[in-house]
Amino acid sequence: MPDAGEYRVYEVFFQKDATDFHTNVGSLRAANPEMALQMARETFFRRDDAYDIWVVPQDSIFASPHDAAHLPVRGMDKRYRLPSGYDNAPHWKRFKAQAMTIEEVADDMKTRGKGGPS
Amino acid sequence: MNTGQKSEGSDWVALIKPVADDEWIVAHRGSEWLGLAPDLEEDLAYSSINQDEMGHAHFYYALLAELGDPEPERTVYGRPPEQWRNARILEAPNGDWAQTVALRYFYEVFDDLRLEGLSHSLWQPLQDGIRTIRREESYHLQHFSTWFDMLAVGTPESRRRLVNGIDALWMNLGDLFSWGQPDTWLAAMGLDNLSQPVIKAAWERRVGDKLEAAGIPWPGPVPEPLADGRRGQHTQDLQALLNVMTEVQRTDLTAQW
Repeated sequence: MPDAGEYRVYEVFFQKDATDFHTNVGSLRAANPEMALQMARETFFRRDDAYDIWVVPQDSIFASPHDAAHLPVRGMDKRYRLPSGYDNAPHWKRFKAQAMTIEEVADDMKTRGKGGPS
Repeated sequence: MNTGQKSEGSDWVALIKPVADDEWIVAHRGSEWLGLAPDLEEDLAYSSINQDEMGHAHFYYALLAELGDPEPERTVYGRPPEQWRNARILEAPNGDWAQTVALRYFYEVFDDLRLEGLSHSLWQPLQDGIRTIRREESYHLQHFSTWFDMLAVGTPESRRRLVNGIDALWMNLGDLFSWGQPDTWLAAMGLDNLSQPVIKAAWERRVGDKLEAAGIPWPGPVPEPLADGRRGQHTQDLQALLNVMTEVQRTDLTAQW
């Protein structure tokens, strides 16, 4: 139990629709998780629809220290690791235009040889 | 409206007006907590809930206007106390937070049962509105149910205050279940489930279970009311409430707001 005088802090996450990730929208204090969920609804979603809401006790989050040794910062040139040079846009365009399945796109690429713009 | 509904217009008014007035008055007393709720989160939640209730009241007043009542603004700001049909317990000044939680829990259980009954009414516009309203009300009930449980087991002081709040309210809950007239007209509308004994028994069962789960002794059946707000018999508190509520509007009765 936390201090009698202090409610726990909960971080609030919400999912706008079923295909979205849960996104942090802020935090609040509440006496228990059920109340935190109810408060989240009124504090952050009074006017918006939400598909799903999570509340997570802030002290359950294991966070990294804010220094260079712990946080990923880009040092060396990593451009050689980026997937450039492949142009799949025409395939996607055909995929969308024809409502093909992903297997059909693969077959299509095979029959067209090495793929790429035709 | 078709003629069938017209011939029953006064029945629909008798059915809807107490619901509208309950929602409006409970929301007004609720709004007096603005800035005073126990914490910032509850301040937001409680304000929002009371705004919901005002929205529901507005829906009912609009229906009443269709049935021949004055426009909602006139109905709210222009009526003397004896024309209001809300239950007396809702016009009483707020007690402490625990008493407010007890009152709202009691009211939300009652409102839930009443809406369930009203959902079987045979007037389509009312049915449609009730379907939307119930989505919000189920959350209101859940909120005060959670508060009720929290105060019941929180600290010795929260429990003492909750029990005191229940004691202060219990004797004065009677006219909540009244319709201000004999129940026979409800049967004629096919709404027996809303009759005073039926809805009161259902309410006492649900609240009884809640008290038992919290280990709070059952105070006994809710006594019959000594006076009936549903008949326009109100306490001085309603006049005081209306004076505050209409204060700005009375500064210029001809103004368009």
